[in-house]
Order: sequence, then structure tokens, then C-alpha cells
Amino acid sequence: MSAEIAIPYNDTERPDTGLYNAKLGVWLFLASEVMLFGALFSSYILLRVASDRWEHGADILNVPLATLNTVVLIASSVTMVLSWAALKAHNFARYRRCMGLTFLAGVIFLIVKYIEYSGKLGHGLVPATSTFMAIYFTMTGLHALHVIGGMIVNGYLLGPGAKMWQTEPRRFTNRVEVAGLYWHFVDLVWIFLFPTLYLLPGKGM
Amino acid sequence: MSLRAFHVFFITISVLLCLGFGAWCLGSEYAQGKWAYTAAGIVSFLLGLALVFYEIAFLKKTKDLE
Repeated sequence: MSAEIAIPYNDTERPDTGLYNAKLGVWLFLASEVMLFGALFSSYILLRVASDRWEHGADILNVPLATLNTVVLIASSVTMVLSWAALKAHNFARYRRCMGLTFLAGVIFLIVKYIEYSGKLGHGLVPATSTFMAIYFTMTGLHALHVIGGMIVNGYLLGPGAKMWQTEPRRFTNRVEVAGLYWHFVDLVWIFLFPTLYLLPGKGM
Repeated sequence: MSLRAFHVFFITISVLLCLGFGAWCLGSEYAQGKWAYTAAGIVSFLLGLALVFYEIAFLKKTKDLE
């Protein structure tokens, strides 16, 4: 004899926390991500302060391409939240359009990043070139990996994972919200990376 | 925090970035005298303004979305 045990608070909020399971989980995960990127930003600050010479990012990095990527990510956060809002309004067709655009924005971001990396490597600028370049490749590379991770989740929710909408629409909407929280976090990291790496003036050069 | 609240926070930070980038384009030593950066600075300020209007509209339209 078998009995199905329903997991509580999968699609409804737990009264004491006001959160459903996945939202609690993603915020715990994002807290660990804050520590990861926080450690890298702290390293950047310490290395920069301790160094006599520091490159001006704009002299060696491609500011126009990074600006384009910033606009792409801000636009993708808008389409991401609109895809969630579409599900809340029970408009699945609009959800697909908005989520598709979010995925496309991720692809554009990575293509631009590839062009940027190719330019740097083509000019012999590698992580071993300087502390600044090491920091640049570490932080932007890790960020790009996070974008790829978000795209895998978004791609799943756009493709095979979307079947859940037919059987458990509320839980599916929650999944999209959680994916949106992660995507916004990744976008937010870039919003801090862009001025830190590309715009801050150098010293002693 | 819901996605709605996080989105509002994100757009607020984006507005600050737009204003900061606009100021960098128009005022920094690196960008001075380059017409493309002057244009980018103006566009950045306008984009920041557009994001403020978007944020207000988003808050109004998604009042019940939590």
C-alpha cells in the first residue's frame, strides 16, 4: 500500500515566514552568492588600495561594448518580471514571449562578452598580464558563468519545464518568480561590476 | 522579498548607474572632448529618466502583484 505525502508550502506561503519553500531556498542561495561576490569585491578593493599602479579600465577595456551589455541586462530584467506578471494574469502566450526575450538577452550578452574577451586575448591581455586583468577576468568570467546558469534555468522554464503550467500553474508561477529573483541578482552584480572595472580611474600610470 | 520588490530595487540602482555613467561621460578626463561620449552621456541621462517613469508605471500597474 502506498500513500502520497504532499510537501507543505510548495505553492502556498508558510504563515510564520510568509515564504513558500522555493523562495526561502533561493534567498538562502542568494545570501551565499552575496558572500562569494562580496569576497571578490573586497579582494579588488584591497589589491587596488595596496597597489602603487592601477590601470584605468577605460584605457584597456571596451566601454561601449560593456555599456551595450548593461543596457541588454537591464532590458532583460524588465522582460523577466513581465514574464512572471503574465503568468499571474494567466496569459501563457505573453509569458512565452517575454521569457523568450529574456533568454535572447542572455544570448546577446554572452556574444558581446565573447567579442570582448576575444579582443583582449588577441591583444595579449591575459589574466597573467596584471593584477587588474586577473581581477577583470575572474569577476567577469564568474559573472558570465552565472548568466549561463540563469539561461539554463530560463531555457528549462521556457521549454520542457513549461508543462507544469498545465498541471500546477501556481507552483510554476512560483518557479518563474524564483528564477526571476536569481536573474535580477545576476543583473545587479553586473550593475556593480561595470563602474568598478570599466569606469573607475587608475592610479600611478 | 518578492520579485516585484526586488525589481523595483534593481531599477532604482539602474537609475543611479545611468546618472553616474552620464556624469562620467560628460565630466571625466578620459571622455572629455570625445563627441561619442558626450552623446552617450546625454542618452544615459535620458535612459535614467525613462527608467524613473517606467518604475512609477510599474508600481502603479502591479499594485496587486505580490
